[in-house]
Amino acid sequence: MSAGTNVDQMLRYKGFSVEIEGVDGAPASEDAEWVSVTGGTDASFVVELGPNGPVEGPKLVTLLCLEGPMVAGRTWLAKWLAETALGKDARRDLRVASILKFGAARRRGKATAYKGCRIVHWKASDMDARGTETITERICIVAERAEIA
Amino acid sequence: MGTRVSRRRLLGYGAATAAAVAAHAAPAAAATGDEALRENAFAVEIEGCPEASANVRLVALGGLTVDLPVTGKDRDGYRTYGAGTPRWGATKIALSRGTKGELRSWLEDPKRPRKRISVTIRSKDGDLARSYDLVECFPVSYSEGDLTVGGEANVAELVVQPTRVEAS
Repeated sequence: MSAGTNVDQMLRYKGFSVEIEGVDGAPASEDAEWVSVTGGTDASFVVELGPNGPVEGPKLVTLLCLEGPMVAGRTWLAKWLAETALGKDARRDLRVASILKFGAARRRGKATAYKGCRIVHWKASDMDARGTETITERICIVAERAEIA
Repeated sequence: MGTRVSRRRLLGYGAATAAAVAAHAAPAAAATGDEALRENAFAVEIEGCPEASANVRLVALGGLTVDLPVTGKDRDGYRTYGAGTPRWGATKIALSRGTKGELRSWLEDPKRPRKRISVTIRSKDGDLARSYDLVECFPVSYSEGDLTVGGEANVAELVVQPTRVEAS
């Protein structure tokens, strides 16, 4: 099998899961239901305007957004959202791990650990009494740190 | 001239491709057995309005937004943030207009009492999966919908702003 074929499969099929670590002392749990994870890049710098022109400001992790069907077992998010909604400074550590799938084979790929995450946005799709679709939810997170795990 | 392929054979290719794609691209929820919640598996309870609650057709929950204040940077040069303030958007509820006028009574009440509105989502087994209690809601707008001959049942639309939301 050529390398090009592997790349094609990686692009075609969903190959990641999200691991939530150490929430309330619980062991890491895997949430493979998200269908898209965007952002979360640890390579951005704020550009500030100094007296002599633009200067390099603080380093930041770009906004990390997860989107997918709302599932019954995602209790970690329900609890985190509940705390955030009450105005608590609720922080969690997340780990986004890619699971490479080639047919029936699964292999763990790159993983990024996000530390000190806070929810900054949450939205669910509309609920319709006549509808038959799945409810989707989107969550956006600001992380204080991102490290290749 | 290229090779001719019969229509029957072409359809066979299509079916085989669809089966292969479905095998790889099946929803992850099915793969792990975690149930995706359906958009019609919800219930709404508007405080003091049982008829209106039973007639709700659609709910668009306002989303949560938290503005995080930037507080500076840490020793390694990373930006730091303080605790933010949560803000919930307005929620839209569409419902078949009942006969009791419960919502109109609410809007016409000079005291305009604030109401609690509960939105619950259940799994196929009937277990409570998510709940959003919109606390101390006040009405933002109310429309009794258009009247048309031969159209569907009259659909009213209520938009409320919760003071806070208790999610679980």
